[in-house]
Amino acid sequence: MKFDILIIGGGHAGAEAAWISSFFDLRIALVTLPNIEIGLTPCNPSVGGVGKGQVVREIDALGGLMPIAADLSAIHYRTLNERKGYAVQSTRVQIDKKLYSEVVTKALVARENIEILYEKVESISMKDNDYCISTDSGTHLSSKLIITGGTYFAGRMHTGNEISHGGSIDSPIVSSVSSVFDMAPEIALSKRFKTGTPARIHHDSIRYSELTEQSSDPSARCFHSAHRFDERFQSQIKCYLTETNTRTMAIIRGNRERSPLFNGQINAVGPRYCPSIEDKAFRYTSKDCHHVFLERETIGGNTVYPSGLSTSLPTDVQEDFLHTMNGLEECSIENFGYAVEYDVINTTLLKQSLESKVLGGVFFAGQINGTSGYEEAAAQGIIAGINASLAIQGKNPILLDRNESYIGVLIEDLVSSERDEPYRLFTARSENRLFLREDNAVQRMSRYRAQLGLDVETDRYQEKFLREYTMLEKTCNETYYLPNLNNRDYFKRMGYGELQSSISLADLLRRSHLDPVITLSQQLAHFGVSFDCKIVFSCAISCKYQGYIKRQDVELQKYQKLQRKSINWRELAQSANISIECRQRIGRGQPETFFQLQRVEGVRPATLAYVASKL
Amino acid sequence: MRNDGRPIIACSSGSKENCAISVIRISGFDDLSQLQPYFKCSLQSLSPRKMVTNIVCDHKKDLDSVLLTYFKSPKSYTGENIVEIYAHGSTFNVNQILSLFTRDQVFFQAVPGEFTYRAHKNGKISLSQVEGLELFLNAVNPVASQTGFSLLQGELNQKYLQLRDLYLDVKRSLELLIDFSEDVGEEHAQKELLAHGQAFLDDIFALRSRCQSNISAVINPKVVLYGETNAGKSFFFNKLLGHDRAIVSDEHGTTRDYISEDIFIENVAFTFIDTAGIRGTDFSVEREGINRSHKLIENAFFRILVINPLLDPKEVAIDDCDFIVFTHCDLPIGLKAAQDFVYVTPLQCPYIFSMAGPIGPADKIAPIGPVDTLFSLINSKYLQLTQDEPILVERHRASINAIHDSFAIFFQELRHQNDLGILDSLLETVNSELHSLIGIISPDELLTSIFDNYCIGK
Repeated sequence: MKFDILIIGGGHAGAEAAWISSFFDLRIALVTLPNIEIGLTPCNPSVGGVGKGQVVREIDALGGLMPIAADLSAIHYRTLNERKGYAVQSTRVQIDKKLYSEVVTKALVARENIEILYEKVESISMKDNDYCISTDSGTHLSSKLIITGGTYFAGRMHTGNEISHGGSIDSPIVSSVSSVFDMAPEIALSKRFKTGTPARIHHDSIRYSELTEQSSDPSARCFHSAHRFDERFQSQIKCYLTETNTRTMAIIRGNRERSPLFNGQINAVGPRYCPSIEDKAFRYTSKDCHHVFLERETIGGNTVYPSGLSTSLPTDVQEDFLHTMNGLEECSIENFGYAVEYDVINTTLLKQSLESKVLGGVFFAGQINGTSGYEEAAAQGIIAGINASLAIQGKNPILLDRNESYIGVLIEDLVSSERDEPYRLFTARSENRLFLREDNAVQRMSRYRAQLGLDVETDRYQEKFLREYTMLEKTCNETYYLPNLNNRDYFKRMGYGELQSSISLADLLRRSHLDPVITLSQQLAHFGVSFDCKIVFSCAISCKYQGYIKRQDVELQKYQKLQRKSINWRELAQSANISIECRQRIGRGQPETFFQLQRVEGVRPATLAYVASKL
Repeated sequence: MRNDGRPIIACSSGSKENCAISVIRISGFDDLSQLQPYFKCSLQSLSPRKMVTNIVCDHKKDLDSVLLTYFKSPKSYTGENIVEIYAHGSTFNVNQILSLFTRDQVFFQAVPGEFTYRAHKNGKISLSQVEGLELFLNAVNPVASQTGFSLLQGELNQKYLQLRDLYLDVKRSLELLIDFSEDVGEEHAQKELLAHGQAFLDDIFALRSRCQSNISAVINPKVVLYGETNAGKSFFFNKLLGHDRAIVSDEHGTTRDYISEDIFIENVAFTFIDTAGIRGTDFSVEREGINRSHKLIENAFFRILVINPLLDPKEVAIDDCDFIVFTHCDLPIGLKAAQDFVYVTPLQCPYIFSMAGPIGPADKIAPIGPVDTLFSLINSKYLQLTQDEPILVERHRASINAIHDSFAIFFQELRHQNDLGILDSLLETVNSELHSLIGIISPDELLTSIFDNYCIGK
């Protein structure tokens, strides 16, 4: 049996790749491990977050699956950074993890051109112009491959000194990247990465009465564009807040030697941005109080995910420190937390399309590329799926610009320098934060979506959205208030401030003491005009930031002229004018352009200034 | 017209006067064999950074016996291969050697500043070091010289990098508030942002205060004598100099243009200027002189107002001078008038009652008593001006002011604005100004403008 695209791994990257490819009239195979659910969320049961919410909406605008599945299985909505301005706001939902997997599986099964194979891949080779995939139960041929191996390649889990093999609980043993890809072992990164997860607690053993509760926010916005603004598909539940204390941290600090992360049992590198509770204990010795959100994993089930307590400590220590916390004094445990280390590939050997430079026709996406997070994985999955499909059609890949999307930021960061640690996306990674917002994902992504040449509901929705958006934007820019007595009085009454000379509606929306969304809604009602509330929302915010974004564009262009210049890293790595530490980092990162040099972690401004002066 | 990519030659020790030794520098050749035709002894075994003797010759004709040193790339001033020739320093000799080398179009006469340009291009010295070098080489007083040298040593640049570190602290705490406030806690992140913001503000304030003094006042301080016509300015000026320089008469408007002369006080050259007296006049030449006087007074570092108490001063303001001289106080009537004047008008600045009027031959000039006091006043004002290590490079000043202004806006908004996206955008404008101060951004434009506008190095 020969496939056009064969995807290895049925996690968030693999599911997304299979989903989007299936719209291209191709034969798709999704090969996934026998015991592992498709669309599994083995760590936190949630989708979205600061920066990540934007990514989910970008995936939505490209026609992805994650935003639909997240809405359908969401049991708790929140808007993060709600009081910090529209540009930095993000949606985060807690999902019912069982339901989420079911939704994803059903969606893929419903696509007739996807064949799901529950098999374990053992080796990959070439046969004529195709890839030949040998599994534990047969061989398959495929023209393109998408590898989304997650944490499963040579995965090893640690709880104290107990070590088990696999990438998540109940997983079979999978061999290393270099043995599966023995035709190009150089694609593996020499170091391994690690991540971790906390223990799962029994819901009925928690004393909730004294804990702070947090309700789902009814005004938080759905991810999927075809869903109503505030539509809810499941009944919403509360989550609860507790915290660590002096006793909790004392127990952890007293067991330093028993933590595989600190006693040398694990050499792999973990993410600084998503630290384990041991990291927090030993790195911030003066801080004992850390927030812990208690989130139910499924509505029907009995397990709770305590967010912020990921750990590799032995089971008795885990039990002890959990029992020190308010509400958890009597708690019993379903699964203990563990740290997992796994193989990753060297992403500098990928093109921006996510195709391997070494193995033509093979795409890599997800955690195997050294990223952390379901959203980052799904984002790469959809891009790999799109580009593999376009390649079969003989079309150019879509390459996202970092100034237009967080997915663009993510991929450019990945392929432009070697990662020191697992990569997590956050808004600080973007230079264009005011523009990369949740509300304007359609405006930012639709021209890429159009490149796919698909014509389904999504495409028609986007066309209509853009048409109406443009109309409203024009209205805002071309409607003027004359400074007559009537209008002045009206402005005063509405709390809009002074009206000394004539201003446009867009100018009014920019006034810093006004909420642009409320103001625009008021004015449209005042004029007796009606627009879809998503369009009003997006247009009001765009008007508000317009001036800032324009100025930033000028700066960015000036800067990017410099960033595009190529540099000779070999020479720099030898240069006596650069500190030894920077030289080593340059030698490892091998930056080819000034932009890439800036991305090399730990390069000092003095070095940048020196290099810039030579360009 | 720079000679990019070609070997250049120039006399680096100045070639305008005869002197004992002149240094001629050649940079940018590929191989020592290119120089061999012009030397009698073999250059084959020349080892770097060792001084040897040789003879410069034009075919078979010996021109000069010289010392020379070879600096092999990249360990040289420009980073290229350099040979320095120490020749006998008559202008004739220097010129004949220079024309020998440039005759065959193998070596080219360097344009001013070209060696330094290459040093910078090849990463041997930073931009601010280049600017320091310029200041250092053109310094005429200890302050400019020291400032230039410290720039050349990279000390000021260190300060700028520190400022950038403080900026990164601010930026980081803002990012913390946006991306990680759930992890670190809202209040903690807020507090940190304010604290880092204050630290940056303090630092940029300190830097900006070093940009306040007038650059020309530091590099070339001018002491201006002014007053109404016939007040006795020229007489007092001569007295300060200790010899007759200005023409003195009892005619109103004798000095119609200014006269200047340098006086050294504690190693610093002060240019003393005697200006045309100020009065209403219809005479156009004199009016032109008076206009110039106004301009000189405006730009002066130290202003000495000269008043003849016997004439009622009408045309000059007594408020913004540093020192007042009452002339004609050797006459009892003059002294009385001056004392009355001081009694009626409270003065903000020190003053003296000086002897002698406008008339009288030079030998009658009395010994200069109060002059020492005046000099020490000038000196202490200058020390005050320069005590906080003024920043004397115009480009740095403009950048520092821009950083200060944009950061002040950010910091003010920080207290009123809840929109972190906008705050971050404001902070980014600070960053791009910082980049241009340190020289990270648009080095092309910067370099072109610097090397086009200034003759840097010699």
